[in-house]
Amino acid sequence: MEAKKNRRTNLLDTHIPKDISRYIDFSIMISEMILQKLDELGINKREFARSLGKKESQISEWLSGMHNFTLKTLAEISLKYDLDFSEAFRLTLSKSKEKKQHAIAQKTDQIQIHL
Amino acid sequence: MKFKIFRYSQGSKGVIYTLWKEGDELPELENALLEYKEIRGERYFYELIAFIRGMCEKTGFRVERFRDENLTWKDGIYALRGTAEYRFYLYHNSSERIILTGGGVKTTKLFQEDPKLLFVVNCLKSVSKLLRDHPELNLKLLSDSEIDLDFTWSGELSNIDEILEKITNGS
Repeated sequence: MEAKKNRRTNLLDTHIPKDISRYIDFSIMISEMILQKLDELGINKREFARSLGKKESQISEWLSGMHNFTLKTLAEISLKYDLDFSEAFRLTLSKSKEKKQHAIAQKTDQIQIHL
Repeated sequence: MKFKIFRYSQGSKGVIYTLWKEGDELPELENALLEYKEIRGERYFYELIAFIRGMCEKTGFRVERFRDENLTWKDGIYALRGTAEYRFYLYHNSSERIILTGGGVKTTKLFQEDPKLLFVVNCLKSVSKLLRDHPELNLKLLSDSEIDLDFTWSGELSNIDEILEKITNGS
């Protein structure tokens, strides 16, 4: 078990192509915004589905965090629930920018230590 | 069959535990992820990794994201969505802690008709029941103390007394 504990990497550390990573980040962020809105309004998935004329199973797929939303769907939800999805894109992009800047700062620190 | 609960990944929003069978080289989740990659290909594998990582780091494990397996609410057993016929079963302990494990390809209408899937679900149900019946236990404690969970062929825990004794004695 000690050897198991000392494993330094696991599959979740796999390098993921940037386009896939960003696509999933967008999907997670959009579904999170919808979920928070439902919490705020105190409505459940069934009521949400009914309000949009969709099946509950379809809504479950949307909220999974791995759904490829169409612009049509986003427009529909955005109008009905007054959600600004551009916020989800902005947040995702700014987080990725922060991460990049952090990585650059770390690298710069390392270079300075070596010098 | 002996398993340990293994802390697989920790992010700012949650911890993923998995089961690790005695004698196996890899934990259950890793075996399943590799099988999934082989079956569905790299693209879907990467998407799944990004998604699991995203929950760990950004959102935690909201129960609304998971597939309800028509079990009782108190069991807290779900499956990941978006993995086609492949099932990754999980025990939802809280929005910060889950046990995520494999399952396999679901070829039957009900998971109860597939002995392999049924075994995984029953193991998770047994852990869920153990934690419900014994509030002094938690996933971190079970994982840190490296206690063996001895499951019967039907996924029942056969060494509950031993687990409780070990925890009480702090060994």
